[in-house]
Amino acid sequence: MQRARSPVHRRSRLLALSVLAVILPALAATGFWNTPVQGQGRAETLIVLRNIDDYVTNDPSRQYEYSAQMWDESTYDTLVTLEAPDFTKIQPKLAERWEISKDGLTYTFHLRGGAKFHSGNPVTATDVRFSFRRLKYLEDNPSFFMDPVKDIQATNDTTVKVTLSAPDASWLAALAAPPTGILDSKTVIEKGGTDAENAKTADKATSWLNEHTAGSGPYDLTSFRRNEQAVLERTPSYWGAKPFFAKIVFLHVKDGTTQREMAERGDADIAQDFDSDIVAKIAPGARIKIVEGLSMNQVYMAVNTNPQVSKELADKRVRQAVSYAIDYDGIIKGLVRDAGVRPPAMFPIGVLGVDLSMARQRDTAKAKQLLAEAGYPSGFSVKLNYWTAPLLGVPSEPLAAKLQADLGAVGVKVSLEPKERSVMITEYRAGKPQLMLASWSPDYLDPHPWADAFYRKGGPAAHRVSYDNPKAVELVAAGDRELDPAKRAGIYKELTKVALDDVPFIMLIQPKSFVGVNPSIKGYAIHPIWFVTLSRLSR
Amino acid sequence: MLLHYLRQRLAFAGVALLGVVVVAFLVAHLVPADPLAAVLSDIATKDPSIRAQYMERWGLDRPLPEQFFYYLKNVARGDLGESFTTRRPVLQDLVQYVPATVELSVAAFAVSVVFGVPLGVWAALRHNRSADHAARFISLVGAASPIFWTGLIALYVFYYLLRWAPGPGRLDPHQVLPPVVTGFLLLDSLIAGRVDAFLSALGHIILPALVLGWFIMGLTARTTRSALLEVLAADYLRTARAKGLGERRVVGIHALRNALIPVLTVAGLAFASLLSGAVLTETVFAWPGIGRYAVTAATRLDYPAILGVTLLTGVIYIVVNFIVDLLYGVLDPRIRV
Repeated sequence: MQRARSPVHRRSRLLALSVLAVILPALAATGFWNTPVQGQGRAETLIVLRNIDDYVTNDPSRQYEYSAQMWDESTYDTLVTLEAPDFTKIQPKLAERWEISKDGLTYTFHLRGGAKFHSGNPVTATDVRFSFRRLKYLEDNPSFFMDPVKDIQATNDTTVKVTLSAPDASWLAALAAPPTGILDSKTVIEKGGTDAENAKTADKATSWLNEHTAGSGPYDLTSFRRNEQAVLERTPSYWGAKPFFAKIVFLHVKDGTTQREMAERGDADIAQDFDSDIVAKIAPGARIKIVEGLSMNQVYMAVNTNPQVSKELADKRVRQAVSYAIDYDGIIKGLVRDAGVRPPAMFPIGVLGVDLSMARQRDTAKAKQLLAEAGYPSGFSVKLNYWTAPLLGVPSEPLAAKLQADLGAVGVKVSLEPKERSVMITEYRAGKPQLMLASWSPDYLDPHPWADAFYRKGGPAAHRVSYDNPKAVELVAAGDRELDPAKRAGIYKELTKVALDDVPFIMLIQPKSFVGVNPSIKGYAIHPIWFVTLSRLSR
Repeated sequence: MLLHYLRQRLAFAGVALLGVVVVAFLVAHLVPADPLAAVLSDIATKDPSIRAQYMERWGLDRPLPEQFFYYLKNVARGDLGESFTTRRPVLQDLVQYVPATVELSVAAFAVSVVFGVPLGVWAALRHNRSADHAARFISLVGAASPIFWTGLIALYVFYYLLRWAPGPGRLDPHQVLPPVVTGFLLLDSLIAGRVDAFLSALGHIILPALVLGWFIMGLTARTTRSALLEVLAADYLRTARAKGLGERRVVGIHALRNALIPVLTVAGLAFASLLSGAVLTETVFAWPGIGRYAVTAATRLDYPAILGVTLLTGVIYIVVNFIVDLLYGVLDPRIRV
């Protein structure tokens, strides 16, 4: 039996509900939780949104992740640097000048006077020697930067002499990379660090370096919480030009849409993880400016030359046929909507010796003819592997489907084999896939790391497709020896020709980077290694 | 009696945990991938001495049974090992990320109970009338909408368009984080005497808690409704009414108390799942909790971290179930014996 309820009772409840409905938004609108800015003024604080879950360590000599490159670049100084717009011009930083011996073996660096670490200790030649030796002997991810080095001597307080075991024309550019940053040897030793040959087991400074800095850069890392935020504060004693921002806060925001909303609302100054889809959704009239720049990343297809993996692909003519079958323009214009470009081989646009006119164009008739010559007039079957996660912002599924269709048009039947990334990378490193979609990011801005990785027999990428051409090996070595930039460029063009003939890799997309920037921020230029030079920004 | 019951529960818990660890260990190691592939760069992975150093550091060079044995031995000593990716003790990682998740889960749970139980009661009392349909619709939408989507929409409407809620994260970006004492931001800000930080943290937790809470509110409301409907038809309630008790007393005390037992079971499980699975909410709201840590660990084949999270999840389920069992006793004296 239902009992009648008193109308008064019901009305009072309704009243309570409506009061709540009014009060909550009113409270919110008065902004009782939007508390005022503390300490330094809003104008001098820069708020950056970024997915920082790639973080492993802030120790410059151990890190090889993306976010840490940017933090280390602003907290540790390197000997030299490379800045936008010309990434081929090496500029002085801690080293005010340097000499390279005629045989290309001895590098003498003269340090600028007056540079100080955050501790107050002066930057000396001993610190350079310590930092380079520690980097080498830690035997960690970035230790390869010191592979060419045979000996390092501090001749006096401001002079360092480095001897290489063989000439390496790219080594100077490598010294602009954040892992080669100079550490305060006194502080690091105090915290358990060492540059001895047994550093890989004896060094205990990393846990301290993860949450503090021992550099001489314009900023100091003052607070760090994994997957939450990082705070950089301006160093009062910095030897160079005083940066504009007193404080830079990095907030860990993974989702691109959330980043866009925060930037559009003006709650953040910079959103670093935009892609072309997010850029397309920015509301018209929103107070947000898109800075576009070329990454030096590659999205490419590896073509295995090992006859045990694929007897068809082991034939050079078949690999060439594959490269003629691909609708490159369709990929750039249709798939990524012009958010990328395509250099002819693995060398990205922006380094020495890249000639866009050499890029291969689609020619299906030629592809069919090459297949017929190789003895496969009606095509063959092949497997295309890829991991399901996006390749540096490029969705892998549609790219694989597009390649399947393009190759299908000349009779090559492609079956798609997606796998989880960690599984796929293991198989790729073991040289198992026939065709494989993969990506590569730059180590430092010189053609050498790409030449060595992709075209030298046994190089980190080359061994995965069993690529072995003595002519290519010779050109890679010649590029290392040659100190004259014009002649070097010629060598890399020659190497590109060889690569286009052999087709161990097919370059597909060099993606563009997009960053959302508040219109009040000046001086934002995308850097292919450390994303942006923070000390150059102002409001 | 109680001691015997406790001992029995603990023994069961131990066996269950061991089972969970064995399965997690085997599954993680059966994946045909190289765990170092995610940790080492393309260049370093080619260097045999760097590889050997990493293999040795994490004991990957030993046979599988031996690795498992060492793991168990270390766990028994409270050492969950060192994560491959963060390179610090897994326990330390968990201690850092768990408070944020617990804080959010408790808030979401409160939302689900505070709104869900009354909604269920209301629906049951107006069985098959428009109020019942409305209540069912609200809870159904909550339970059926993908939480990622609800989160994005909520953020878009209440933060982006209306500005009622603050943006993602646990604190306003201009606020300095209070020093870590408990890891719970709401508590730490009060301990530090920072009312501004407390208000900011409170403001930041409301929206994600409502989103996450709505998701399980549907569950709480529907269980309350069906349990109450069943109880309302029972004989003893007719007796209570016949004795002249007011409807408020009949429903509020006699009926609800019995109806709450299934609700408690469901809510307990929901709370445990909140703690272990707020991954998507944490992504949308940039919440630095355990969910994100778990996903990163899984995709990078970080064995110690995977096992640590698994173990933690197991412990959470067992503890919550245990608490639920104890609460049964409070609600229903018959279970106490």
